Amino acid sequence: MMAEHPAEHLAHWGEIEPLLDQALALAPSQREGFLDTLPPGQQRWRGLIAELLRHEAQAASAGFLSLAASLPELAPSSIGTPQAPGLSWQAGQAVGPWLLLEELGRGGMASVWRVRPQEGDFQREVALKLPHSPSRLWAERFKRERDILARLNHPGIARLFDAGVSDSGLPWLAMERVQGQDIVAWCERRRADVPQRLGLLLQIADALQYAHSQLVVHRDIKPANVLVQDDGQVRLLDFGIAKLLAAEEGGASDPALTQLGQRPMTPEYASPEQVRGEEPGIASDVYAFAVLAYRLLSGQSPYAGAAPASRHALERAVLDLLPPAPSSQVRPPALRKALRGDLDTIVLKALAKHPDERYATVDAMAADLRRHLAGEPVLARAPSWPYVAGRFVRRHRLGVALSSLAVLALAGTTAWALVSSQQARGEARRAEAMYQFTVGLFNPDQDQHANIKLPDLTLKTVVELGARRVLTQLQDQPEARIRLIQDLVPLSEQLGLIDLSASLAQARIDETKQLFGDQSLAYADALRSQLLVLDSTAQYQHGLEVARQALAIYEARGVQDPHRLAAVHEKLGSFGMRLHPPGPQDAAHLERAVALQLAQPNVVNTLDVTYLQLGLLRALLGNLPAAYQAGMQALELNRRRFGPESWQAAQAESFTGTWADMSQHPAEAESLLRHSVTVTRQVQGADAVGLARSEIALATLLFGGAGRDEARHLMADALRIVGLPQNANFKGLKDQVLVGALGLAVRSGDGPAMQQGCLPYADTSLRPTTPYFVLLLTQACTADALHRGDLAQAAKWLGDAEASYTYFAKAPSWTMGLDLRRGEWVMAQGDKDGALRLWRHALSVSNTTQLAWQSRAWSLIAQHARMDAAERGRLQAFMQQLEQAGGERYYAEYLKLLREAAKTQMLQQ
Amino acid sequence: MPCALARRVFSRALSADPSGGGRFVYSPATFSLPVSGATLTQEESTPQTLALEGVLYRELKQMARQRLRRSGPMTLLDTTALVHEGWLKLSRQQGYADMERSHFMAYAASTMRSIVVDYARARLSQRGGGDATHLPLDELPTLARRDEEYLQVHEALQALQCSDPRLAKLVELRYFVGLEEAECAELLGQARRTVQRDWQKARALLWSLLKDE
Repeated sequence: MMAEHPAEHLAHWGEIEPLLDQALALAPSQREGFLDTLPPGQQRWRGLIAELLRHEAQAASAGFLSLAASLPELAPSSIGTPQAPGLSWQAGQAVGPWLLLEELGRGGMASVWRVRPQEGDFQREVALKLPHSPSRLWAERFKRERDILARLNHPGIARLFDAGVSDSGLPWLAMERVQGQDIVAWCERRRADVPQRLGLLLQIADALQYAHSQLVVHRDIKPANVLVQDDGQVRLLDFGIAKLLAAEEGGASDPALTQLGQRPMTPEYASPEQVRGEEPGIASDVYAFAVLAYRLLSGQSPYAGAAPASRHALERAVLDLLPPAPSSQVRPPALRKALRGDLDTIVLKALAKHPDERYATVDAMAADLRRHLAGEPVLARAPSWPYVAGRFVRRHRLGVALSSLAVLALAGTTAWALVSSQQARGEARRAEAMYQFTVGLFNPDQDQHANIKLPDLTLKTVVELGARRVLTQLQDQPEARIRLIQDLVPLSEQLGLIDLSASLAQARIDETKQLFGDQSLAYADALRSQLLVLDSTAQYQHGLEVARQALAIYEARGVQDPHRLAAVHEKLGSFGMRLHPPGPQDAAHLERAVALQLAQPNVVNTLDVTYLQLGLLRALLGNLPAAYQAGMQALELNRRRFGPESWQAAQAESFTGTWADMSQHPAEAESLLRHSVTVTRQVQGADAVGLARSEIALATLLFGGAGRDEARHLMADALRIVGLPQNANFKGLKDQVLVGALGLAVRSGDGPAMQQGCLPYADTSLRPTTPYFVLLLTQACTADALHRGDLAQAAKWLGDAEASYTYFAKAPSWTMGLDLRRGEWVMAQGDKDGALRLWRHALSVSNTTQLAWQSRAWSLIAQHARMDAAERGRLQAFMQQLEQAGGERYYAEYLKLLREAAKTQMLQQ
Repeated sequence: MPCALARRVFSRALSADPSGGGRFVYSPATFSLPVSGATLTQEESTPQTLALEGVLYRELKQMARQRLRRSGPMTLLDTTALVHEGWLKLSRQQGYADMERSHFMAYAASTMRSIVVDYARARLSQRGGGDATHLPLDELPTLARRDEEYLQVHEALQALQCSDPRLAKLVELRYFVGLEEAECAELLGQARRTVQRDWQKARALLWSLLKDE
């Protein structure tokens, strides 16, 4: 019955065809109606047409004929054409020291013969591989590679015994003859189950690891190169032969034909970097091994789903397409269950597009496989929830979206740590994942045509919505929920959703405590992630306690992981130095964090932030050159890592520039700070908080010299930025800018500005928390009170200054400004001697910083005292120093005061 | 005539299918019909066109072999690229110089089809048995081991050819040469919509011929 139909279709095709044509021109829903209204004479075809329409639909959904034909590789002789002259081998022929016995097979690149040595015996069975198209460069290559390959001695690797070139110039490779089946066929024939297949994979891994340790990369891992003997022993073939045989296309090639050059051998197994033509390395072997594992476990190619119609399409798939989890490719529920989870995770990790994201060694992957077999937790982390197979890896630029980030103020706080750390850890991928996650929340069926137009919302809003949702949902899946929260904390933080990230961080702590206990690693990690939030909300005391707790747990568990330890040590140092006078124990924590991160140079980390914290510490201790050194290290690191025009480099420049300024290297400071301003404005936008920091630093530098007008503009812009509602959370930076502006107002003697600036701070609760800013504020507002003649107010401010003295006890160069004002206050009481003592004391503890106050001190001393020669000498020396270091361009303000002081003194002589 | 024979033989073989799974069982002896050189204008092959086709066949085959050999164990060769290159090479030669590209493509399509079929037949007979020693095998289930598929489509096309050579040519162009819709429309001088519908018809028919309900 069935067999008749097709013939019927064809037999009456002339009549059917036009009707079918009409039907196809209609929308599917209208076709039934069309068939109903066929005139009676044509109704007889109705059945056939309906059937054809059905077939059309079936064919379409099955992808019938959607894949064009291609020519598979084939032994040339089978299609009856002669080989190239000189390369037809025959039994009995001699090649090098070998005698050809029997042809074992023929591939596209080479023939393989069973041979024996012409003289003497050889215990092992030898297969001689004779390449078809040898290039002239072989001899050289062979010599180089042969020794390396021949040294590979491992039960899982087919030996290369020798290689050479015969008298007639034909190359040969003498290999161990392996009798076995390719691994896919072997498993199929024996119906191997998952543990058995894993066992085979582990054998392969062992052999690969051995070869890698001998610095040999396979480069062409595929089932045909992995044979399994009857006894179940795996033998890997053709190690590195791919490299040996990759003939260089010299003059022998036909110019009309396309050169294939270094293109990979087997596209399915080629890693993305190989497809791009790069040199394969260990990571490529890891990838190919993963493709093999995928094949073996799921029965399919990772890219089968894409049904690529050509080599080019396959290559594009390798580069762009995320393969689905192996478990999703199998039918039987038992098998699906066996693969889901760990095995999915392990294989997909090793299939990552970027080599750095895969297992670093085959061994590491094997270790995870063994853990899985033993029922232990594997180290690989599942990709973030929204790993959506089949989607294209989006190259997502987040620079602008993350622009509203807090920046590390000189002694302030922030999510700098966050920014630097998360950015460095590939946040682009994460953020993409988060984006997908929230898309998924709104679109659980992955419907392509969902109503919600997510691209219209900003990433920030989308993440916010998603994060809020996860806080209230997924209660029944605590593990999944934790993982989500884990990713959302830093991301929401980065986007300035501070309250949200605080809630999330707390949620994570609560969950992990409940699920795993308060001595668990997960709990310690949750605490560690809270540190980021606490940093940006300036909760240093709380943060210190949390950090201590986390460290205690890590130490109790013997955790060695530098990444975790470094993060905690860094916070211990940086929080510590904001709470108490900075001291050696804080420095020790930071140095330790630096050392831990330096020990793993290839691991992405927050070393730049650590360097900056260290710089900060040194600056607070009054050692500006050392601070500058640390800043330069951070800057160089970021330049290398992110490029000189990155915002990360710009931020490092911002600090390093400030420290350069404070070390009396104004020209360099200007260069760094200008670049920082330019890049930050470009990359993060004109309203970015980071820009305000760089601007105020540059303004402070330029104010003292020829650029005073520009300085005013910069300052105004910085004030504008911190005043923006979206930047309201960044308190530390706001403090910095306001206090900085106040300082400039004092220097220009702008009474109203000073008064206006200091008025709000009469309310002590509004004052900054950071000691450095408190210091600057106190100095400025004392000056304001003195300026207005309000001695009582001045006394109040000076009374509050005790805390600053305590904090900066080790670095009196900072508090010299307070001494200056105290002197003025004392002077206003009529105690000239007392004043002079204080001013002279101020100068005696000064360093390269606070040039404005030093100049003022000199000026006051000159007005009220008669300097002896020594003192005059010091004044001169100071002037010279400034002239050399910066001259009029930078130090006009100070030099003016100093010159007047000198003149006053001269007139007194 | 070959057409009637093809139809009858095709039906017979289908009904004699022992596997019952609707798959067409290939048996080398029965189906070695020559590939007919259907031209665009549905003319019978003249000695001249046959000669040109012969040249084209040899040339393309040679090119394919060279490329495969030179590139080493490369799994797949793009027939599209091959045909385009063939055009580049041959359009300068005598006999082809005056030919329009659309005509060339028509020949190339049937030539490519026979080359693919030749390779498929050879592979199938080669894969008979024995253990795999050092022979490279194809790996991708979707991209290789399609030899049976190629032969099935080829046989079904022979039947289709007799009833609607235009549709058969379209299948050759799209499936054996890998051309896109737009290109086919251009070559066949038709609107894209027409080509789309033709493709649907062809597919429906071939599906009917090859699949069991």
